[in-house]
Amino acid sequence: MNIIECVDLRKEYLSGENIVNAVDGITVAFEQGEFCAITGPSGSGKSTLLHVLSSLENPTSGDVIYNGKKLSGYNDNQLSVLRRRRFGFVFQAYNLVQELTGYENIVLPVMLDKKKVDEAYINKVIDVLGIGDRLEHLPSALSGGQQQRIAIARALANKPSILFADEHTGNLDGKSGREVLSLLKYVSKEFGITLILVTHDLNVAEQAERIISIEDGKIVRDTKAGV
Amino acid sequence: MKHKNLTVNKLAFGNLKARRKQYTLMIIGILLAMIFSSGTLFFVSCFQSSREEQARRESGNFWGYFYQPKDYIDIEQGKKDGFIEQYGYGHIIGYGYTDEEKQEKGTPIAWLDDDAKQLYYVTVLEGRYPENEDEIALEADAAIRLGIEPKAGKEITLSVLTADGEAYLPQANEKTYKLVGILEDKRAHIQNFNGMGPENAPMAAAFVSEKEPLGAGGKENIALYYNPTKEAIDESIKKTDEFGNTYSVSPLNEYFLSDVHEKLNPKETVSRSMTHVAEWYGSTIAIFDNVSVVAVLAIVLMLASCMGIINAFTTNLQERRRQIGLLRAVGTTKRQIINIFGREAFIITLICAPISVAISYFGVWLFAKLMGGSFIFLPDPFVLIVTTVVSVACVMLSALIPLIFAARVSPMQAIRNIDLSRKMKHKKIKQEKVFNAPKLLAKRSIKFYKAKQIGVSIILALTILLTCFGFSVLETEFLNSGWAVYNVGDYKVTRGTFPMSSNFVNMPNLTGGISSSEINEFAAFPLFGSMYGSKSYISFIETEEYSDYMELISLSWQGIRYNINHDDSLSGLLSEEKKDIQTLKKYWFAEGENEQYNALKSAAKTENELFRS
Ligand SMILES: Nc1ncnc2c1ncn2[C@@H]1O[C@H](COP(=O)(O)OP(=O)(O)OP(=O)(O)O)[C@@H](O)[C@H]1O
Ligand SMILES: [Mg+2]
Repeated sequence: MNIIECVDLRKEYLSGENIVNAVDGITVAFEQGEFCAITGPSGSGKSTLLHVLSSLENPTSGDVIYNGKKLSGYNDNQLSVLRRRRFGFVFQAYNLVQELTGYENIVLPVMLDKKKVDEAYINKVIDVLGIGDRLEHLPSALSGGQQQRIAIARALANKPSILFADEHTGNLDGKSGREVLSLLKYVSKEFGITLILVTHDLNVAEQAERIISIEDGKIVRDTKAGV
Repeated sequence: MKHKNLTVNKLAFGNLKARRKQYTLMIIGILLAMIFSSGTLFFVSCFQSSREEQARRESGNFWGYFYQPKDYIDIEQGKKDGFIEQYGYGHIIGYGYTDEEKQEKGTPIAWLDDDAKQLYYVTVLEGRYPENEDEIALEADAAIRLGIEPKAGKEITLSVLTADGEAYLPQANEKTYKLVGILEDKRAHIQNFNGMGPENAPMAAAFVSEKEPLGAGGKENIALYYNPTKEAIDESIKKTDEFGNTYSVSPLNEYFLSDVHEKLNPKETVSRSMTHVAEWYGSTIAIFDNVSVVAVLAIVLMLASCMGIINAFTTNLQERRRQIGLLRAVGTTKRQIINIFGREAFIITLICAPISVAISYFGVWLFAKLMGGSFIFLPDPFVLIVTTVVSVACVMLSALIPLIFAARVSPMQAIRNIDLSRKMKHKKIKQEKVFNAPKLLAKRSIKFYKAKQIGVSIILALTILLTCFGFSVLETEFLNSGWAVYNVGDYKVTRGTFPMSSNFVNMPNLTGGISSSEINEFAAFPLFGSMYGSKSYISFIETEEYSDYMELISLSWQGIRYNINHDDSLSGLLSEEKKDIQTLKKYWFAEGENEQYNALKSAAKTENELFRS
């Protein structure tokens, strides 16, 4: 079953007098529990696709369909709730709330939902990410890699259906990058989370079950591992 | 691992703590705005309470009285019947004076029962109210008239005529009192009471304790002061409205008093007072008129403060659009954003409110204290609570506008400064190959953030403009209407447009009586602050010294007043009044007759410029 898909998705940017077709008519579907990597040259529109798919940005035309429902029919409130319950985000630059400690950042989506924290689950995520000793610090006192891992933990905190990650390994060394990736793979299998990763790193892309290549806002290749 | 739960409060407090420096400025801004808005409210309240209090102090807190009430006036029955609220007796035991030649400058000496004390509204300026035999308290003005320095603690000797139940026994006795207190003047003594000689006035200016013995062969003269119930007043006002309001305040008194009198005694006519109630009520009307002006002013000033607050919050939230965008990205709804940042505003407000309310309360209190005289700021818990609540509401409502804008921040703001790219959408940036770095950066900043800066400047300019407007209104409407006090020679003259601390004469039916040239003539007279209308004139005179000249004026007034109040036939009244105007003019414009008059007249040219605005 397709957890999320898009049909003839377009995103145009107007800068000055030029129109940039960042996403140029993409139709693609992702299955529940799938692990997919999106690759492509810089400026090809990977991040933009991710933002539109995850409802952070509105498409210029076309539709995003989550669980059989068109997101264009959702109001702002419903989209917010969808994002915090069903989607997890790891951005290109680690985005943490600077006024909150590591732990508070991690459980922020749960708190916004007024739910009880699943301590066992969170602790497990924290353990695997190896950030247990830095939780009481503010982000400004954490290294780039530590912040990135906090952001990943936050993305997983609400046990989302889909985790969108944009260059999550960008600030991690090879070893940490591999660790984080295997963690992502592990939790996605364990909780049936769909992983959509944008990456430049071919080693990362090769770990995925499916690799989508984008150039100039169009899909140029879509391969499934083992096929 | 145990972690404390994260709550919205924690988020709000966390924000506050982490951004202490940024908040200091904002809090100062909000403090100022709140001090401003609550100060305005306190000022309005001070203004209002000043007038009411002033009216009470100068005229007493009662609506009517009976002098020498006959046995058939059963005031207790009136109370039982629900149209008398409170009543009390003044026991006039004598009439004191110092100069045999000028007996009329003396005053009745009385003691008041507890109710009468409340109704009479005795205000002690210095010393205390008499408690023992041989102690006396004098109103300041009365002391001056008697030639006694108004200072508590001295021994004074008066010639005292003993009351005999109707007037006074002819034989005076020397009596020495200890002057224990100086009391605030009752207007009734500056101008003699309603056509009666001072020796018959129902209000005393000298008070003794109830232990003071009555002179040999004497009998107390009784004055009965009373207040009607609110229902009785309302009923009379209704009748007045039915009658048509051509007579200004007088018919109210007429109706009201005849109502009361009728109820107390349907057959007989008894002596009654118009003046006093008219003055009291006149002041009340003036209070309401001016309060509406001041209310408009207050709203303007509050709007100005609100703009300041909007500005403070906007600037604060502007710096945090990235954080807001991130919160939106991880699924915070718009309402939750308002909740989080609104709580911040609320915490700030709760910190600021007590401080600013206290500062402005103290400020207005100090202002009233320094201004003295007409400004009386009475502590009123109701006003305090209302002001606090209104200030808090003001801040929260003002904060809501920037909060709503903050909630609209796109989640994409967390990832990229889309505010800027949005703004630059339709603008072209001319790229430069070789450039002076500081210059170019400055140029670009202005290009990018111009709109924002202009917005802030507009709000600031509007704030300043509104404030100036507010203060100019304050200047013209507020301070000029009765608060300007000038010293002209020996006299303190209050200028104004309402009968606050004033004697006033209201002659609604003198259409033919006073011409505009006559009004000009009156207005040219040194002691007249303002004159207006063809049918009525209002003037204010306050003296610290009671001279022959003042006597002239007050006697003339008496004549007019007497006729208006006691002559029921309108035509007769008109001709009588015309005659009185002539007499009045003769007194006033007979040059060379009075030295003091001449001195004042020669000063008039410059003083007039002062009076006319
Ligand atoms: N707000 C914007 N306004 C104008 N153009 C934009 C905007 N955002 C993105 N673009 C353009 O859209 C195109 C795609 O950008 P996008 O960020 O999706 O690339 P990417 O594939 O993620 O690149 P990278 O691998 O470097 O992160 C780029 O050409 C970029 O210049
Ligand atoms: Mg990118």
